[in-house]
Amino acid sequence: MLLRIEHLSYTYMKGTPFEKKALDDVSFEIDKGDFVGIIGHTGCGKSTLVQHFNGLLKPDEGNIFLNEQCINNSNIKALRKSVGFVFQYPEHQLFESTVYKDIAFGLKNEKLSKEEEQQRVIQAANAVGFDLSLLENSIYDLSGGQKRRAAIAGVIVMNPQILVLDEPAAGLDPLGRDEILDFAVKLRKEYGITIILVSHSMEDVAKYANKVIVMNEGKVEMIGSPGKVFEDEDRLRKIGLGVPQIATLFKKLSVAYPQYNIDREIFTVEEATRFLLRLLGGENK
Amino acid sequence: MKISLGQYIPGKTPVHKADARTKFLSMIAYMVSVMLIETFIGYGIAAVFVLATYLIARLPMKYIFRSIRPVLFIVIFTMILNLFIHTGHTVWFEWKFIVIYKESVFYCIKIALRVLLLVMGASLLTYTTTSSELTDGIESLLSPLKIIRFPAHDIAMMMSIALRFIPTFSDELDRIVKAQMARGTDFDSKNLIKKVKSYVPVLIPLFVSAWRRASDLATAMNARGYRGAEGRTRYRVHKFTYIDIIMAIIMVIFAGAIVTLKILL
Repeated sequence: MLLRIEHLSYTYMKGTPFEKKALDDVSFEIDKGDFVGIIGHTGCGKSTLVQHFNGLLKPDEGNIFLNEQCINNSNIKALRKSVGFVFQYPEHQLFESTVYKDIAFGLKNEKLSKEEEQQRVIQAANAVGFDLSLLENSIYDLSGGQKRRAAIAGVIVMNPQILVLDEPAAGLDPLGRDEILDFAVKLRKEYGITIILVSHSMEDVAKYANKVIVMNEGKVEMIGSPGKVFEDEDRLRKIGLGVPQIATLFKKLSVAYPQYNIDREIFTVEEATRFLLRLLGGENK
Repeated sequence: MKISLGQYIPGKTPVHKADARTKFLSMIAYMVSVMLIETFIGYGIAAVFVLATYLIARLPMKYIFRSIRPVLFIVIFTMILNLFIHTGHTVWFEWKFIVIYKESVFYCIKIALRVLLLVMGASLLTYTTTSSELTDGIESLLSPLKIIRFPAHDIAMMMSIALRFIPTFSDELDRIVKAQMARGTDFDSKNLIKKVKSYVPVLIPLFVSAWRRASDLATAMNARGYRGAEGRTRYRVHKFTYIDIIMAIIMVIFAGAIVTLKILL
C-alpha cells in the first residue's frame, strides 16, 4: 500500500460566515504503480483532496499514510520529496532566468555535484520531451506547451514516488494534451512512478487510469476500475458527470447485438477500433 | 479557495441597507466627534453609541475584538510610554526615578479609548458595506469636485479594480506559494536572508501574472467600449431611503450631544 487516506475531513475558512466543508470523511487506498484518475465537477473537493497528499493542506480530521507511515508535521518534508505536485497551469510558477535553472530549482536543497545536477535535469527534460537545445533560453521565450513541459520537468526532477497532476492538460490543444498524458504513462512504465490525475474529462481518465475515484460534494461517490465505475451511468449523470461516448455506444451495441459477445470494458476510440477490426476480420474469414 | 473581500459580513439589518454615502459621512462625523471628546462621560456616550450600532447590525461581539486586534499592541505600547513621559500635578506613585502622576494615568486611558473607539467605528463601516458599494459611494461624494477637473470617476474605477483583484491575487499567491513549496522551497527558515530569498520564486511569478492580468483587463475594457466617465450609466443605482434619513438624524443628535458636552464641561 503506497498511500492510504483514512477518514479525511477538511473545512475552508473555519469559524467565519464563509465556512465551507470541502472534504467529508474521505477514505481510500492507492497501490504502487497505479494510474489513478480523480474525477468530479468543479468544486467537488478534488483539488483540496490532492493537496493533502503532499502536506500543502493539513487535515482537520483523519490520517494520511505514505508507505504505511502516518504523515504528521515532523515528516512533512520527506512527504514533499516523495510526492511531486504539478498544479494547474504550472507554467505560471516559472521564475528563474533560464529554463535549466528553473528545472534545477528543486534540487538546490539536495546538495548535488554539478555533474549529478546536470544529469538529473537532462533526465527530467527528456522524460517530458523538452527540447534540450532550449535549456539555456529564457523561460519567457518558450511556447505555451514548452513552458508547461519545463514546469513539469521541474517537479519530476526531484524523483518523486507519486506524481500528482492537477488538470495538466488545461488550456492545451488536443495534441498537446495527448503528449502530456503520454509522458505520464511513460513515467509510470519506465520509472514506476504512481500517477494521480485530477481531471474532469471522462475520456482522459478512461484512456489512462486503472483506478477511478469519483468525487461529489466533498465525498467519495464511487471508486473502482473504469469499467466498474462507468457501469453505473445513471449515478454519474445524476452528479453532473457522464461516461465516455464510446462506453455508451458499446453498452448500447452489446444490448442490441448480444450474439457478438461485445466487450463492455471498451472506453476509448483505439480500443473500439481494435475490437471492431477483429470482429470484422473474423467475419471475413 | 474563496477569501472574503475586505471584511464585509453579509446581513440584512438597517445598518447594512443604509446607503454607503450616508454611512461614509456618518463615519466621518463620528470620528470628528470622538476626536473632540475630552471627558469620560463623552467616551461613555460614544462607546454606548458604537456598541448599540454593532448590536443593530447584528455583528457578533467577537468582531469588535477582531477589529481592534491589529492596533492593540500599539495602543498598549503608547499607553505605557505615555504613562512615564506625560507629567501632571498629583503624584500617585514614586520609586527612584519613576514618577507616575494621576493626570497621566487618566490621559493614557483617554488616548487608548479614543483610538479603540475610532477603530471600532471605522470597522463598522467595512463590516456592513461591500467594497463596491463603498467605491460607488466615494465616487458619488467626490463628483462635485469634477468642476475643478478632479478625476473622481477614474479614481473610483482604480479603487474598485484594485479591490476586485485582491482576492484574485491572494488566490494566485496561495497557488504559487504552494507550487514552490511542493518543489522544495522552505518558507519557514529562521535565517532572515534565506527567508527573504525564499520569496523571490513567489514574487517574480506573481508580478508577471499581475502584468498579464492588467494588460488582459485593459484589452477587455477597451473591447467593451470603455472610455471613462463620460456618458456612462450605472447598473446599480443607489438611492437614499428613510433609513438614511433616520441614520442622519441619529448622527446629528450624537454629534450635537458631544459638542454640547464639550461646551458645557
